[in-house]
Amino acid sequence: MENNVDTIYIHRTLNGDTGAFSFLVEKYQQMVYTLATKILGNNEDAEDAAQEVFVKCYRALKRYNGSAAFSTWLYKITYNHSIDVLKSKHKKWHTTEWKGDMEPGIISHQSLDEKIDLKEIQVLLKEAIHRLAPDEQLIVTLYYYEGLALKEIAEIIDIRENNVKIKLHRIRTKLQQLLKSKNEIISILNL
Amino acid sequence: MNHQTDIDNLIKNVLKEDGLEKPSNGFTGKVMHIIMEMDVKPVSYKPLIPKYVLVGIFSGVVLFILFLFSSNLKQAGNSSTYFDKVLNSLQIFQFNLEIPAQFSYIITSALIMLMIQVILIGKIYKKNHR
Repeated sequence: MENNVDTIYIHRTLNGDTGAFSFLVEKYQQMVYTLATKILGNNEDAEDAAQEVFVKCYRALKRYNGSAAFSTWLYKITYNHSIDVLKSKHKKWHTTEWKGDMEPGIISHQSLDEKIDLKEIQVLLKEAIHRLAPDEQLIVTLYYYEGLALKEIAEIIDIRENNVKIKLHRIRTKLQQLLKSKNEIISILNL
Repeated sequence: MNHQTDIDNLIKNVLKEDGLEKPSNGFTGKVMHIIMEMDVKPVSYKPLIPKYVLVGIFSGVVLFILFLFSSNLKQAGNSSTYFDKVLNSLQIFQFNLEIPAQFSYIITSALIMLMIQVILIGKIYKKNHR
């Protein structure tokens, strides 16, 4: 259904209705901007890159053949362009290692009497996700937020499907370790 | 597997709550402004073969055909006074060549086909590079 709606606006744009392209910009701008931010690391560069991505997409629209979803095709352009921008600034997309230990500061300002509830777990999980390596954050966004299949993610970031599977497994393990260590702290606090 | 589903659901909920990053206000407007500017600028289209070259080729072909026609008529023993007058007035076309009729027809047909193909190729090129 989503693809059908996108296809309608793509055809309108190709038939000369340039304004129809604004629908696609409006629909995908947040995702494109988010992906660019994850790669480039700052809002200013990400916004410029996101604008250039849509302009590139408009120029290349004739070449979109519908074999993949429009979103997949657009996110691939986003990924490739963001990496190019990074290279042009002589930067590398660092995949920093996760430091598995929780920072003591997170626990220390909490009252011993407080029960750790689901809401707080979610808060901690959010922080943990933000601390993931940039490529892992990208995969988390594409898989969990956008609901893309492993094959589509592999196509976007140009790695094998199996590698995406392995990375996802590692991400889950890291996040589970966090929650496990949190549970251990809960049991210590409750003694 | 349930454990994995639990963590997956947790992650999904966290991300949905957190939402995506938002670009600045007027982002769509900025993008569309760039795109509209691209469309407004006239595309400087240069034809594959310039018109004056086409006119030159066509004129050359016509003159060549006239020359051949005149040459054939001379061979047949007829003198086409009109063509003789035209050719006589153009001194540079006074060749002493005698071209066989069949050869001249082949050359003429080949040139006509070439002209047609050039026009067709030009149309296809315009269509593909619009």
